[in-house]
Amino acid sequence: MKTVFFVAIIVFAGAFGDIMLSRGMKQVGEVNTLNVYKLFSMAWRTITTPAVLIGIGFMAIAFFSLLAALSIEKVSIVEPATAVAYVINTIGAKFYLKEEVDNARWMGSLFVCLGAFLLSVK
Amino acid sequence: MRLTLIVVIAVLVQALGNVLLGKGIKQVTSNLNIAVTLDYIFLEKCLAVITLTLSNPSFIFGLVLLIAFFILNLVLLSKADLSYVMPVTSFSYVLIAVLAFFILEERLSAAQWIGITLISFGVLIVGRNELLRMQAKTLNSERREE
Repeated sequence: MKTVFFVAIIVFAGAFGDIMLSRGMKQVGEVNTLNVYKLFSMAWRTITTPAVLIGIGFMAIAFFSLLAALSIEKVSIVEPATAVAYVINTIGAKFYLKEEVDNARWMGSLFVCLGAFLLSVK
Repeated sequence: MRLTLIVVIAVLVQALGNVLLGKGIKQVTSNLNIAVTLDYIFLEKCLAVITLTLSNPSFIFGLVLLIAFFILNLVLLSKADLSYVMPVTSFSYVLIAVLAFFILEERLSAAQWIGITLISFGVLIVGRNELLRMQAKTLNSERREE
């Protein structure tokens, strides 16, 4: 039961973290320069954008839940279960970020999810 | 095209970073045998582990590469959709498994080979689709200019 709880936190906090990072980086603007001064100003804007900070916070929560899950369960159980994050992320991208997720992207993320599951089974 | 180049670099950096980090951690933990006890000796051992880890070149180089990947991932997310970046960067897991197979001579099960094939197929679908989308976009903007 504890494992299910921690895996759920890993998956949902990780997915929410990714979604917030994506949202934050769209607010920062496209990184399209190699000018050092401009890159520094973009880096500053990145670390002062609330969505990016929230994203990093949630990724940290996912990371510590991973450590907690690994301390009570084997890697071979925990890792495959987290593959479902690929599909959760795509659902979040479609409905929260309003991205144009076409059939190819749905199929692609489903294949990656299944593949990541099989690859991590030991 | 530039987007694809950053994806390729990000995937390589993440794969190499993970392999080096894993190698470093294995080197550190193979020399130690720690039982969790709550006394001064345990604390001293913990300090020793931290010092050993932070002075392990593989670990440090792996960590630096993974930080570089995090930054590259942010650059990618500033340019492209999450529903594109997420699946394509997962190719690093294929790379890690194949590197482990050829260089470390680790065995892969049939299920793992199927997993590798499925991920590669997924990346191919999303990647090809993105190229078609970009072509359609440029065609549309050219038409609008005319």
